[in-house]
Amino acid sequence: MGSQQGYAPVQPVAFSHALHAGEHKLDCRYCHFGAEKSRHAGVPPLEVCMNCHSQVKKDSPEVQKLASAFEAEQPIEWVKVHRLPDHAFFSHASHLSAQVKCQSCHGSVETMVRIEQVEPMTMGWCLECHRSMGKPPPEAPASAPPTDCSACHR
Amino acid sequence: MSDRLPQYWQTLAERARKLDPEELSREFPEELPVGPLRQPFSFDRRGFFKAMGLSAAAALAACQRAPKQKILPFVRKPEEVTPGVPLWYASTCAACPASCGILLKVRDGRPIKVEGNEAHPLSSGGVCAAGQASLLSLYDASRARGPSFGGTPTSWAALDEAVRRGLLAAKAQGRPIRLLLPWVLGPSAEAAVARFLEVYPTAKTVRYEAIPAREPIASAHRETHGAFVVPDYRFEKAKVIASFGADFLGTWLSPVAFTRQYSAGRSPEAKRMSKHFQLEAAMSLTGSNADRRLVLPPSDFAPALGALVSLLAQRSAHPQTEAIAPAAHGPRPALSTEALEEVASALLSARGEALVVCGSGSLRAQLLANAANELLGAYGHTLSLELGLPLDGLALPFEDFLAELRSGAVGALVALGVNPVYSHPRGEELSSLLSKPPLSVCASDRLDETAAAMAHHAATHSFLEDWGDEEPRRGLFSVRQPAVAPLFDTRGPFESLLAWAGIEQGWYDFLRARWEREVFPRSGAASFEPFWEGAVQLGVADLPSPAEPASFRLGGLEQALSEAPPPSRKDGLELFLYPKVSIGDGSLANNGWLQELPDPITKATWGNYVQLSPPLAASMGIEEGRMLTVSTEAGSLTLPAQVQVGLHPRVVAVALGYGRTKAGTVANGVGRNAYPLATEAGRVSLAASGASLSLAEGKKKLALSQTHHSAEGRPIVKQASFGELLADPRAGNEAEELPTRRSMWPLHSYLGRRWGMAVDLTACTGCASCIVSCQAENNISVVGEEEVRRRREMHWLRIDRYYAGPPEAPEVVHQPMMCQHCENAPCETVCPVLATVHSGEGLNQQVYNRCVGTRYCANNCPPKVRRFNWFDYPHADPLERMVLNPEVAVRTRGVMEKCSMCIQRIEEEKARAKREGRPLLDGEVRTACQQSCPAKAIVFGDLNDPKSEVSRLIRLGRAYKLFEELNAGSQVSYLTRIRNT
Repeated sequence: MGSQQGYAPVQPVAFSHALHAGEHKLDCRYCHFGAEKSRHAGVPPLEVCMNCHSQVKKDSPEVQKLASAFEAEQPIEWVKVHRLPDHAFFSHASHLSAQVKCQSCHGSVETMVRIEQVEPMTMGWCLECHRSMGKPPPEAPASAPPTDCSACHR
Repeated sequence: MSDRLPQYWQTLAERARKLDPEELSREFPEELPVGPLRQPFSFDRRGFFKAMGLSAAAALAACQRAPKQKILPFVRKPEEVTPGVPLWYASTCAACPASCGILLKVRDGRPIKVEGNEAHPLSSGGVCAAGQASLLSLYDASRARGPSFGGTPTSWAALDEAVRRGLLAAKAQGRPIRLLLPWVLGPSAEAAVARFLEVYPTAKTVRYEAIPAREPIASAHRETHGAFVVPDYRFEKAKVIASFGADFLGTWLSPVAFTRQYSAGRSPEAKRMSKHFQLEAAMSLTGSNADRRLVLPPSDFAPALGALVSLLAQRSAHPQTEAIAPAAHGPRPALSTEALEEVASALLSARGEALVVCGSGSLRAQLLANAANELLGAYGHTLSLELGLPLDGLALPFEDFLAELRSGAVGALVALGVNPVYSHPRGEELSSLLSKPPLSVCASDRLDETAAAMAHHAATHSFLEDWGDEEPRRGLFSVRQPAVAPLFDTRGPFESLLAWAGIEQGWYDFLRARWEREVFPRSGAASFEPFWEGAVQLGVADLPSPAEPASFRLGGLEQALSEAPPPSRKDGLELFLYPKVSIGDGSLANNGWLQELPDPITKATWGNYVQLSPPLAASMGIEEGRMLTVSTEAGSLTLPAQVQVGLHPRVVAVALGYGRTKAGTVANGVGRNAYPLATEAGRVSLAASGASLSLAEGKKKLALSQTHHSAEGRPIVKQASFGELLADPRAGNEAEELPTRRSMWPLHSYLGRRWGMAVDLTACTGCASCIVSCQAENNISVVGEEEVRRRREMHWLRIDRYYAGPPEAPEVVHQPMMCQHCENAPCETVCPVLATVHSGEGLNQQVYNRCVGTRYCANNCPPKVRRFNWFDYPHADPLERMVLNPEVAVRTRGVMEKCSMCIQRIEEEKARAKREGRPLLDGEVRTACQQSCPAKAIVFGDLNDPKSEVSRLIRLGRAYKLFEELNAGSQVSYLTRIRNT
């Protein structure tokens, strides 16, 4: 199976990262709050959307989709864009603690109206970065990104 | 290889050098399998169409660039949940009445692992195999999914209404109401029972245990000490232990706590080692660990104890010694006087620090064990009645209950969590009697043998879904809390009992109110809320508890002994029935992990068999697997033969817990039910004399797990005596002169950590808890009986059992065997696709997605620890897939797998330390096997850190590595087995 680079499926709600993260400069972690402590960055629960949208832009048809789903206690069925295979165990938390920018892997999300996979997200692409960080300094070997198979495959 | 007998052997055939060495050394004994996987996973018609539907969907989806995946976030997120981050809940295990403290790992709302609770004073971090496996029973597809009447689903309202009406009618008519319960329920549940009894004055409890263990001990103490109590045992305080048939490390009372205590009392480095005598009929796990093991038939337990008490009385300083000796007088045991003298002298030499335990169901044997402990001054030191577990003294004897049922007097019958139709010798009669009362209701987790015989069925929660508490030691309150919302429309048994008593309060409120009223005032805490929160969070509250002292009553002993005469022995063989470490009494039988767990001694899986000694087998010309019929006056049973060393020549032994008919798809029809034979002279008894053995038609190959891993005569296990070790720290482990060997590959260098493990063979009892822990952690498949027979079990960690010495009196060594993560790994050099490679931290990694299944690596693996997926082992029900650990890949057909040293745990802890900006501490990463080990025999850590615990252990004189002659450079070290002989 080839790479999914360029994949930008239509989402059930026309949510714009360009508006939220770009124009309004919301921190990524306001919605993707799992990123700091979990493997999964997570897609925000509806109640996070409704924190603002119970007041803001209530007349937008897209926001009304959110409100009625919230009313009905039905989750929005977002289409997954960035996908790694089941045998790759990626951790958002580890990359955040290593000061890796969200954009390094996800591209300039703050300019995207519809989210798109920009990078190939293949193993070779991961390793390029893991290797280019260079040989670990002897005094702090654990701080270098691992290149062992078992770092990602368990 | 030399011609002399091997020092260590695994089977009698190996000892006699009757095995074909070529066959033995073949890792894969047969050609590639053709055709689909056979039982127990054969597809039925429905399963076939489900699988077909799935493949069709996958084929269609393959036309797109990749199947579309959806993300469904929470609408409202529960405050404590972050997807991907596990939550831990402290609780109390209910797989058996021992009540060990456990921690439940919950990922995204579903429990995925049972671990030991280190804060629990009793089990201190250990869990047994059954406790681990109780997790799989939560997701058991054969559980009842809601209440039913006569097998037809009904509603809780309708059930409650019918039960209430039946109970009130019985009350109005003054007819007896009977509550059939296990002996151990926990203090709050007992309070709920008491409330029920208040509401219904004609109600009485009837207590039941499938395998008589607690009741005989408490009954004996009622006579000798006036307290209907199971004592609290302290094996760590005992310098000399004499066990008469009590398998206290395997199945007796509280094996996890006892294993912890036992290994604490046996530390070669602390120069402290108890001396353990085991007198038993068949080779038990405990017997295999004993320093001195004596065999005697079960009918000899009471006579041997009588003779021991006489010997002790002769030389004891006890004031009543002159009266005790004649009271103990009885028939002479067949055991030699010298052997008993040896036991008696050892016990007397440790007066006040000696302990006699007895696993027999015979009241006489238990009375004599109490007398022995009294003469040895053991009460208050190595066992305590004050801290013991009091049982229900007002319970109606089971025989009286049977008589009431026969006469039709009972107006209403409520059974909770017991299954006597299966596990009582009169089960068949019971099944017709239980429906006789106008109201009969059974609360159990499935429509089992007993529930099917009664009218109403109140489907219960798994204990992982319910609240509860236990008091396994006086003042030690252990809390049980739900770790998952109920999966089905079930209800806790005491929620039901309170409802049927017409009490408005729910079970949780009842429990909490009782804690506020009875437990909290003893804590000295300022207010209840923080105390309760703390107890729930920690899982336990250890409070001072006043108890009435119980002292020895000579008159009681004399009277009771005269009323419990020694059993009359019949000629012929003796049948001995025993619970297995894995299956126990059979209540958790519908569990693939337990069914496939090799017995610690016989290494057999899936089913029971007739154990007989080599001389008996030789005299009858019986080979292993030959079908045999065992007959007693109670009936007969046909099972395959298993020739077992260490068995008394006049004893045949059969495991209980098999032959379930209504447990579910896994257990039904596996083995035969031996409970109908558990009777002698009209009483429930696990031993019956006057048994006979005859040849039956046919042969059945046992599904053994340990005849197919040969180390080809290399020194694998090492042992020495405690005395030798004190004289020489390298005793038994004298360095061999090995020529310097060079590797043809460049050496590895480790800049950071280098992971390693130390396994203490002295501490390891072989209890197999680690095997199930590993299985749960690493998503290891269950393959089924037929596949085990074909040597294809998937366990990453196995425990090899070796015998040493003559078959009449073998010594046993248990050795946990997992991937040794060799420095110069033979598997790595032969893999053509680099699917197994060395990591920068010294681990041998298996990369499933590179593996093409040549199996060269397994052929080249000295310890034979690589397991190959011959099939996709499906889980029969989507429910059962919920047990899978999301941090570990599920392997597919055609892929090799093996121990990874729980790499997911290593990576998790490394990432946590990194996130918190601190170095990883020694002991933070613990492998699954290490975590659950009750004996703390396994230590994992960084070999590059000289201060780590594992580094300290491998510097001991006892440490050795396997396959040094091959220059393998194992990262796992073993510590020599030390025996106090």
